[in-house]
Amino acid sequence: MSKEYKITEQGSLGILALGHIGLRKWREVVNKEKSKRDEDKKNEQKQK
Amino acid sequence: MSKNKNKILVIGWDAADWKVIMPLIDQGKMPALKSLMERGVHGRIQTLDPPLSPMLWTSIATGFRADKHGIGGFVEPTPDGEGLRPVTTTSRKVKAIWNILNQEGWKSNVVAWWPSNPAEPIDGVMVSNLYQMANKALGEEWEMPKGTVHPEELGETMKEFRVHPHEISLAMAFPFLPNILENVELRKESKTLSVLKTIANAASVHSASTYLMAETEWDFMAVYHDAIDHFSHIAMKYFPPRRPEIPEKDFDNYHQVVEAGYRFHDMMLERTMEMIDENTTVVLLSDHGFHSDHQRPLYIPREPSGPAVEHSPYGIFVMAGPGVKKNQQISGASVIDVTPTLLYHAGLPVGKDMEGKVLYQCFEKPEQAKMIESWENVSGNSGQHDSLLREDPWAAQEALQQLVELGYIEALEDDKLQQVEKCKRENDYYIARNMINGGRLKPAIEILDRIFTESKILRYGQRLAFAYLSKKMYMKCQEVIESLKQIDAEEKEKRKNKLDDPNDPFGNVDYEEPMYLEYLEGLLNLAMNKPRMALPLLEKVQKKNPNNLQVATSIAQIHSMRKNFKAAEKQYITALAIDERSTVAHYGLGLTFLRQNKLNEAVDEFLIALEQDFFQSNIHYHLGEALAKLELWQDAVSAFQVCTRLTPGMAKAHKWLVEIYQNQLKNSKEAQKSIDFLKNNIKGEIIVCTGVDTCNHKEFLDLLSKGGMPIVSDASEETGERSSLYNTEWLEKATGKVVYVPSRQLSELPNNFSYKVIYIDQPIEQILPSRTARLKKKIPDNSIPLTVLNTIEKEKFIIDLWIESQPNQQVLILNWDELMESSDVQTNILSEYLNFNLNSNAVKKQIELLK
Repeated sequence: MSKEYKITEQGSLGILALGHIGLRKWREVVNKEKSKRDEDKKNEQKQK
Repeated sequence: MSKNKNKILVIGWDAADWKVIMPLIDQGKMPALKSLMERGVHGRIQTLDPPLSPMLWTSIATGFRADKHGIGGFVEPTPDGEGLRPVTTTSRKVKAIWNILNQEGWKSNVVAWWPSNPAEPIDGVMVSNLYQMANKALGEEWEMPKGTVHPEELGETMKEFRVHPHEISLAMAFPFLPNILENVELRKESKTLSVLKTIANAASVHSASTYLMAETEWDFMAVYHDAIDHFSHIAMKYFPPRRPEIPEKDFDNYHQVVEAGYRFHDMMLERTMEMIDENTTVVLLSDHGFHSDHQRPLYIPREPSGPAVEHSPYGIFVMAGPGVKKNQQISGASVIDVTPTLLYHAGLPVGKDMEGKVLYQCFEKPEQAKMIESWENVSGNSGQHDSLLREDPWAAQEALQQLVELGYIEALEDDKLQQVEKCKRENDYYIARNMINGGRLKPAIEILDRIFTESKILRYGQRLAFAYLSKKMYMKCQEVIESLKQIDAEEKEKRKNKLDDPNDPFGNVDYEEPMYLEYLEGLLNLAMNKPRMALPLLEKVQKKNPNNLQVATSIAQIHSMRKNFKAAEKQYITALAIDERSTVAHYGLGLTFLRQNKLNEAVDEFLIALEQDFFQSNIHYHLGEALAKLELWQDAVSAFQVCTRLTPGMAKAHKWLVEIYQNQLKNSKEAQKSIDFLKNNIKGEIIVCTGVDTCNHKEFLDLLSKGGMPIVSDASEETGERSSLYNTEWLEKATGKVVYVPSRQLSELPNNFSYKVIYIDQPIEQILPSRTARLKKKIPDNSIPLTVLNTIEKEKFIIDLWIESQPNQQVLILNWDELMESSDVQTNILSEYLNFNLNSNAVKKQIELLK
């Protein structure tokens, strides 16, 4: 694989077409973004 | 241990069709497929009837039709006989290619093949067709049904690669549904949800396969994708161009689904190709095509498997790899040929019991395949389920029923039992259709007769009538058609009330009228040599079904039979407007050109037909005939030689070869080969006496008989029906004798006899009185019955045409008046021609009586 992909939380058909590797990477991004949002939410609630 | 030899990868794209693919390739939208085609061979692959995927993918993987491989439809009874379940691997009665390879030490991975549940214990990995089905909401525990993955311990790992439909993001859906970003309502529509589910399923299958390709050792791999079929069933009706029946709003929302589906598959293919090396052979194929143009049906029959009406008879076939030709188009492939071809390519023998053939045309240096009686008799670890698990589910269901009858177990609830019985009949119906498709008419008739007796379902009866028709059992066919007419009238009455839904663009009674009965009746009349009755019926059907290819070609055939070549030409052109790839239409058009002496046009059409299907010996034969008439002797010889290679027994082609080698190319050595063939294979010589109807053939036969010549009575009288000259048993009795064959039956004379023809040429004024008398109509004095004259002219034309199309044909044109006037001379001519010493006195006496 020589191409470079920028993976976003929304993902893309291109990512799915990469098969298991693309799927794993995309889910990592999704989980990371979700954790980040959860973290931000918690921080927001703490600040309140 | 992997044997580490050249690997084989088979990729299945259910319902993929060149008609959709080629424009996308031209626009640069499917680069991976284009590159694969350039590396290998590609062409159409013919499906089997009925075009139902579980049957077809099992035929692809086994080389057998459904009655042999055992997968007869979509569902089968559960082991307790109380319900139905999707078809399973345990019902497959023969080995799949991965089982054969297993015995030969190959390691295989099989992903999502239909059916592959429960996964078979092969040396490798099998991920079943239930793998990708989401059965829980996103976030809930998504269990895999038992038997989904073999080996079982790999199950947990494989779970990770499943994609849930709710994971499909708007960005992923956008190429399919361009309005989805701004149109919130669209996201809730059932068609949209189906599209999302199909994307997820395709991604699951692809991820599982890339994981196995990368992380396991394998020699053979088979991956099956059902997504193109699903995208097409959901949205082919919205595929451009928009038809007037399609609401603009729906078209706007869903017109990109099919194209995006194909492009997504191309992207997945690109990734797959990156993961293999140049020593891996790739076969990419579909099981059938999918109508994407004006042939898209306007209605879906409201019956089980009704949507299959959208399937087209040709799918795609691409093969690339070591030893495979590069960048070439091939023809003549059928789904049943895949397993024999793969076995051959793997260096293994092909089962003689397999119904398919090796596609030698794919290979650079083809050699004769090794053969084996049957792979079923070869012992060893095939990786199949234990024989105790493998069973005929329907037999098991019957056994249960027997236990109920004996009182050992409780009876099933009526509706459940009815459901199972109904389903069994439906599967039997599919198997019978598959048998008809394979030419096994007798067992098909038995099945159809039984299920039609049990349940008066129209389509069962229609197929039964069709099977009788194909078996030339015309009376039986007629009987079934009559009973169908009655059922049809009742059904129509019921349907009237259910239809006319204003919201359903296809819920209109007009679309529900394919007129299959009229079509059948038309075909029956055509087969019974009653073109005059067949024509109006088929023309009526054509009016209602202007895009039906078979109807157009049948009408063309009628016109050809009646030697009305102009009208036939028009219908074949209509057929080609419906499907420009139709081999039947190109061949038929070529024949009409040939018979009209438009020889160059005929050659062009035959060549196009052969591009589509090279293995039709009849087309080569007529190409040879056209080339011979153009006096292109060497080219004609090539065509006849291909013809004799494809059908070694075709005596007609050998006769042409004798004629050309002897009289044109003066090559007696080559001529001798065909002469030897004819000597060893022609069953005998028959003297055919012919002429227009009501010529004095009876008088002539009497005359020959009196002269001592052995006579067989008139062919129609002898056999009881017109189209029975194919009955060679009867013809064998006629060898060395004289038989009268009416002009209309000349073309039915089989090729494994040689014929000497005596053509009774009588002046029209002698024939006219008996012909008008037969009409039982008083023709006014001093008037010329033009219709009768035309008919007689036509009959003469038919005889001339037949004689002209027969190579090396000996014909004696017997002028009736001359026979009457100079009996001595004519008797001598006859004796010499017949190579039989006629008793001239007896002949003379008879002639005196006739005068």
